[in-house]
Amino acid sequence: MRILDWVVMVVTIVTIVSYGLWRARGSDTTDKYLRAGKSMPWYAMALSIMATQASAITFISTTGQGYVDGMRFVQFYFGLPLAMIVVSMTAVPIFHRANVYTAYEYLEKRFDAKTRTLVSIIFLIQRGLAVGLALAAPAIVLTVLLGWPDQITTVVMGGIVIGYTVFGGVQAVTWSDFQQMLIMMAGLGTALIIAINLLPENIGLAGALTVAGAAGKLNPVTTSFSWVDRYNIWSGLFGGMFLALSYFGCDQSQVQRYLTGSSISQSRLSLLFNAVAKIPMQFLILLTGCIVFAFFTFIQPPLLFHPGDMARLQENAAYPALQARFDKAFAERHEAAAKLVHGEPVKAEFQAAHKELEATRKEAAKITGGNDTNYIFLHFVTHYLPPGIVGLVIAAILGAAMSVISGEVNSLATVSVIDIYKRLFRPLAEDGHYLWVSRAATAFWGIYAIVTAQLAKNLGSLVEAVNLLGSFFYGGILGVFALAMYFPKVSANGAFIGVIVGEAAIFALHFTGAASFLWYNVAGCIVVIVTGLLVSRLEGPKYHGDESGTGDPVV
Amino acid sequence: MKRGVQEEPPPFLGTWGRVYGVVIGYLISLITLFWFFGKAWS
Repeated sequence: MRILDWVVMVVTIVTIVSYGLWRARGSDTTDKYLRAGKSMPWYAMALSIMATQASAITFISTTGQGYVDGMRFVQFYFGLPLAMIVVSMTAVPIFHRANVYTAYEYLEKRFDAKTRTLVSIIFLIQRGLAVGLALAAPAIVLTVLLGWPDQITTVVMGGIVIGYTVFGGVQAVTWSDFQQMLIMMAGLGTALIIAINLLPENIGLAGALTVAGAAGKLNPVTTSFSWVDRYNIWSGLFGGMFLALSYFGCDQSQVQRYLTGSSISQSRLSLLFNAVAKIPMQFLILLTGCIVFAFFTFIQPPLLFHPGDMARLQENAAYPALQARFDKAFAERHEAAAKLVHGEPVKAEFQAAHKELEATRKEAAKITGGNDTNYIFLHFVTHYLPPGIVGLVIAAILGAAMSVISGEVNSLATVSVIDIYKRLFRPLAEDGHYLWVSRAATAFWGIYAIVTAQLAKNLGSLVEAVNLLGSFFYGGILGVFALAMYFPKVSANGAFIGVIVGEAAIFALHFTGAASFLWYNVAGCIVVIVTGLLVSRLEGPKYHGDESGTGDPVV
Repeated sequence: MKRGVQEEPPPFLGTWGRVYGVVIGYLISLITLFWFFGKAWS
């Protein structure tokens, strides 16, 4: 990093944090600290929701995913617009009318305290682990840039986020997210344009797409079906819709964003903006990865992108032979790619050289035991982008990371205070006490994130790890909310047992390897609903919960 | 629960049903475009 990059990066980050804190001034009640006094306009919530999803993982790992696996990952988001419609039609008006701080508060109004507590604890476990992954990704950035150990970078990043989240609450989070998302869009657009401009003179965008297409990277729609195939149109539409339903309908880190809306209409608009903008954004990020792939077809990349792994490999006896094999495969692929771009029928030769090159990379990665998917884009940014732009892109990556971590820490603190502390331990304290506890809980979860981030370093593609982790729990949570909203005859015991059986089914599915993780949500949700209905039927008509939808139990 | 929270019409297209319809149409168009994109470059 050059001085100009440092200046751009520091000024950008300081501006984002300062603006967020300035907008959060006066957060002196629990309502303002955790719910922004229900005053947020749709555009702030919309970008905050996008920023909370679009983490540093989106930048680092999704571009790497585009480079390694092509564009089929975009299908994962095909179900999202459908989910946004369902959430807008159902969850948004229900939560607004219930006037809740958390989604789980509604479960007590509909069922009972034990169901609310169980689902709150599941959320705390799942989101608590995910926040560690979200912190691990930017730590990778700083590790590569500064050469600091992972532990130090994690503490520094986590410390900054804890600082402004503890002080400003959800308003600081939302307004920082708003700016972070704008910076992210600017960073992404700039990186894509520069990647295209950096291609060799006679190649251009069309040439890059030809090369990426020949390598099988340009596959945004795959119609073949398999239960164990992670990304195809079917798993994207159905599995992706269920995952998005769980995420936006039942996950406090998202629900809290649109609960700050000044009206049902404002909250709906914020979600529908995501329905429209999310897929094109992911498409462009994956396309950037594919363009970077094409770039490295003409400019030789390192054998491994992770600098630490590469250094370790160089000390291994097998390195010289591997490097020679890699050089030969690259030269052959380069030659074939140049011919391919000029219309010569050498696709088979290109693919054979590409296969050999990838096999060499896999062998090298096997020796080091690492996975360098998350380092591909970083290598490109730090080695090939001009001064100033590197700083902007790194600021975008760090801003993205901060938006996710702050949002998650904020929601974890809200659930801890509202659903656990206030509900189970101190229900009648003064508002000032809960405000103080909310700040303390925010600090606690920030520190927790720093600790769990240490475990997330070698999980391969971080974006997949996050989605896999979510899939373990989202199906169960979605099932209980579906019971609450659509099945008025289901009893509290039915819902409670349904969640437990649903979670057991998801773990059984995972450990038997019967289906890809995108189907866990569908299966878990169905098991919860069926179990809930069965248990309620066996119990008889003694208690039907809130049939009126008002939160008043009907006995 | 607050029963007083009223639903407002969307700022465009008149009803929320129409807005949802447009979003579904947009999704179908996007998938179709992606399919042609993949076909064109593979």
